[in-house]
Amino acid sequence: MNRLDIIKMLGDVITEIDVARGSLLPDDPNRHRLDDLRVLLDDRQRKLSKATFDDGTQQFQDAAQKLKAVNDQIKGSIQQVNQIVTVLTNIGTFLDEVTSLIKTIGPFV
Amino acid sequence: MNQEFSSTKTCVSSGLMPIARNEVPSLMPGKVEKSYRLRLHLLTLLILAVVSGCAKPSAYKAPVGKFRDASMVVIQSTKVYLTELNKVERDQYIYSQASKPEQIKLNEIEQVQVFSKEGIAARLNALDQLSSYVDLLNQLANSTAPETIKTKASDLQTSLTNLSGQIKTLSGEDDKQFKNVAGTVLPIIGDVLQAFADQAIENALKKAITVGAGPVNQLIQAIEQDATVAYERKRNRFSAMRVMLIDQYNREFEKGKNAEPEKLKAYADAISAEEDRWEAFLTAQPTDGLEAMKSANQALVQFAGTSKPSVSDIARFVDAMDSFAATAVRVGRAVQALSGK
Repeated sequence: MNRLDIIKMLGDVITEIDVARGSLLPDDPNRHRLDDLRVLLDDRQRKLSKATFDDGTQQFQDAAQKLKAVNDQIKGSIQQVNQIVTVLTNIGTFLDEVTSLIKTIGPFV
Repeated sequence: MNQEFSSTKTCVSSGLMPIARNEVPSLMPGKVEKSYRLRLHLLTLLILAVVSGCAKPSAYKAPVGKFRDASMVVIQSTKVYLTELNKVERDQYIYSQASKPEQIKLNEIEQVQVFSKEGIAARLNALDQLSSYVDLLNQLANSTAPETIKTKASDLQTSLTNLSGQIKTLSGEDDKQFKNVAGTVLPIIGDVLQAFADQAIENALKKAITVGAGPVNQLIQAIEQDATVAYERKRNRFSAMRVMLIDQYNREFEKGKNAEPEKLKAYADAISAEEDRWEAFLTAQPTDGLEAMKSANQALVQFAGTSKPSVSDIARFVDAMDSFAATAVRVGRAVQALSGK
């Protein structure tokens, strides 16, 4: 996987989060938590968009595979706001993996 | 080989030029339905050209024209994305602050933008030069005025030199990759252009297609990466906008009996329009057009490398250009519909 694959994957998760956000009323506490997670993922995507780095390193590839594994697990489930606790946990796990991946890249963050 | 090329000139002037011109409208909205009929005409003429002993340059003529037209659409669409990249980031920040609501700060607006103004200008300039190069290929395939071509090739060479200078001054972290690729491929394209001044037009065309195609594809690839980023960030913003409009409606809805029906209707209309735009946007990936352009460019190379093209070689070549043109039409229409929104 390369930088663009990760940017696209983040985009897919963000758009799924938006479907969940748009399915809750604006003042719902769970909605606020989703808003916060979206802000963090948006920030990660923007940083990856601006950065130039070697995405062929073993470290990056390992982190990308871990992220992909999490993504495969949660794909399609984020919109299920009737299971909001699971949704929030899944997004949190995904965010942690994105943060780990970004740490492998270097000091640009 | 030169004699073989020269012997085609009567075929070039007698048959294919009008078809090449007729192909242009098939790229325009509403004219796609003509493409099959035009394709059949083109194929028939190409077959006649081969059967009657005409060699390759004449066979390039209409497909290269189609390649040029489709390339223009794709390049223009890509320019829209790159031009709007910073607007996307600004708007995302501005509307996100407004929806919370939180203070808007000018320094934060500056920070969120992805490329520097110089970086965007250099990429747009590279796309302009790519456009000029493809146009030159088309003129080579159709030209009856070699001196004009040589002058244009020389002008383009000068523009590429200027572009190289412009790219060298880029210092942003986000410009590194583009800078590396452009630094490698622009001199090669410049050498190809030099051949136009030194060689017969037919040979120059063949050289341009075979030697220039690799670097041109590398340049397209570099721009494609930036365009992908631009598309993904725009997708992010459009997705956020969908939620903002839903929130707007729901806030009014939550007022219960005090909700104003006119406002609810207006907000519902806004949601409906946004959903239409979202649907259109998902079909407007600039990478589709650029990938198709690379494939078509590759097909040009393959065809140029075939010394005696068979009917099936020509059919494949025409199919490749048609496929590229169809993708260009789709992406071009969608981007046009979304431009500035």
